[in-house]
Amino acid sequence: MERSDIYILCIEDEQEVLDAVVRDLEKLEEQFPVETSTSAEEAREVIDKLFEDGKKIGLILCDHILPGDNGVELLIELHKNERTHDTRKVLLTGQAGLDDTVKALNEARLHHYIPKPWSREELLDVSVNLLTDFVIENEENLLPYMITLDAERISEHIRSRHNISDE
Amino acid sequence: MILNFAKNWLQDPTRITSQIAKYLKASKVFDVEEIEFDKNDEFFGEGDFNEAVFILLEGTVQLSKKTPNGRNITVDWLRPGALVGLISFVTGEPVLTTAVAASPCRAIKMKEKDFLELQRSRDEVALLAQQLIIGNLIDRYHHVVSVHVELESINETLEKERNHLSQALKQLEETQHRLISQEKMATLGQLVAGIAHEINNPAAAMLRASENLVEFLPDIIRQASPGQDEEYDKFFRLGLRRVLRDSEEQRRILKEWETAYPKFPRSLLRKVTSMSDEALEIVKEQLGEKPDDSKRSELDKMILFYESGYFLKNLQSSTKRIGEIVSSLKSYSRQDKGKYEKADLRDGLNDTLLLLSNRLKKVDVILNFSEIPPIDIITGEVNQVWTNLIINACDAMQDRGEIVISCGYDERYVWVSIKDNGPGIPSSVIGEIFKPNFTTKHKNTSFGLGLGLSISQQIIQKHGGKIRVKNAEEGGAEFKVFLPL
Repeated sequence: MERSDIYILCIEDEQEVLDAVVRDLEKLEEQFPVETSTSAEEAREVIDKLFEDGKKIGLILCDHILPGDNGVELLIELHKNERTHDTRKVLLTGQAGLDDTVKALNEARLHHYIPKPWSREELLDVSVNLLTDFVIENEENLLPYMITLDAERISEHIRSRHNISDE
Repeated sequence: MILNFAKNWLQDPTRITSQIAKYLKASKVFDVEEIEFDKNDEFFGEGDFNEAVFILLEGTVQLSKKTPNGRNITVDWLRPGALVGLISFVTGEPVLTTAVAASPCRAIKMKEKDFLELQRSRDEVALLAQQLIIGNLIDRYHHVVSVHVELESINETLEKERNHLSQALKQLEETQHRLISQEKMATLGQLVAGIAHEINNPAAAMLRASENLVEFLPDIIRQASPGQDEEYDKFFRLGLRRVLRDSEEQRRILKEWETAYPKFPRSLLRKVTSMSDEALEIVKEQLGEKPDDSKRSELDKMILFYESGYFLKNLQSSTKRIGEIVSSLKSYSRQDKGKYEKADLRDGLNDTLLLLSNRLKKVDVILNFSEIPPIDIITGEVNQVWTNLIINACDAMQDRGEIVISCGYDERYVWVSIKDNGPGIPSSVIGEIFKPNFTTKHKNTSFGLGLGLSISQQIIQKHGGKIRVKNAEEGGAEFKVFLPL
């Protein structure tokens, strides 16, 4: 499996939870390297460094409450930033009130909302689905993603791309 | 003499009437009859047309009138010497009031002709009749004036009572709100204690299970992989005791290893590189320069044990945390309602802080605890005060800033100070904040009744203590709670 330069970023301040999230994503990591951070501040540094190295960020999973920061606010900030605008964003939360969720949906174009405790299948399904969206929107060559991501949607998209170029 | 003549009647009405009565009875010109009334006999009823006037010689007559609501009210009492039915008799209009004998009465009934005749008489009796009439009218007028005065004083009393009532109603509403809030807290307390108890069992079982697994796994390893068990056991224990490096350093090492072993999956390398430097050296040595597939699958196995170790450790630490939260919940919401017991205020503060830790994630809490003696308090209630004060501080700072909590004691009180570095309390309202229903919050309030500080003050006062508030010189508000030793 070829490693892509599309990263997954997990932001979670509790190490135990972070360990679990990362472990659940292991299947995807062969292709999409996982980066972690335990605070919003560190997340910003990691993002800067990844872009410096010419990497992309396809998916961000973010805890709702972070020390010194609110996950929703961070996602809104990242959505407004050009570099992370297209990145798929998931809020992982133990307690978001409805207000916060609505705000995240409206302002951060939050793509998914996963309540804790989550199941591995759910987390993987959501991640696969969102990464598929991301590569379809942002990648030219979709073939390498057929195995790990949603093959059906990708092949459908490849076909439609061909049709357009045939015309 | 003329000007004063009505006075005679007013001073002694019966003297004049008895003179008139004597005259009338003696005279042959007048056709009058003396009538006796039993108690409750009616002279005339309201609305009747009255053709006679009565000179009351004995007994008391009650004048009453129907109100628009249909109730009968007493308007006046007439005493001997009075003219009964004077006004309707003179005006010819329907009678205004019903006249009833309140006691057995004796009266002279005069028809119109005789009444006019009496006044026209050339004898001294005409003067007496005039005195009688005018005296009666003056008496009625006096009565009207006194009724007005009485009405006014009744109005005053009513007004006072109304004010009193509306104040009482306000107090009642406040008390009701307070009771509802207290009841809510008590219910919440019971609920919390119940839930805490329910969670405690599975949490205890989990903790025990993870401890057992820690004990069993080395045995399992030994039996399943004789020969290699020491190695595996070592990795299991490395996981169990995993201490994470600084994350930047971690990223650097991971990158290093990714370059050194490009064929290895990143997830494997992430786990490997989270081990201690010492362990990493051992792994490096085992892998050699160019590790083949068998080396790699051997590493996979090692890491499986390492991972088992740290997930078990995570299980233990998470379960322990559940246990701590549960025990805080239990001591926070103690169900010994209304019972005073010796307690260290710092324990209650720590319980409260742990339970509010989610709310306090973005706030720096600085604890400046000095040694304080235990005092008699109702723990659950005092914890409610800490909660109110800490949440208020968070609200004031919009959840960002610093809360300093300190404590100490003097010869009379143990005190706790909770200070934030928010905007402080505007001087215009600082005197109001302990009043019920005072609130600066408009939305996102937890209770929203504005009773937090009022209830806090009530609780502290009940404990014989006091709460003081001031804006700190360096900014922010400081609440200081004093509880008696």
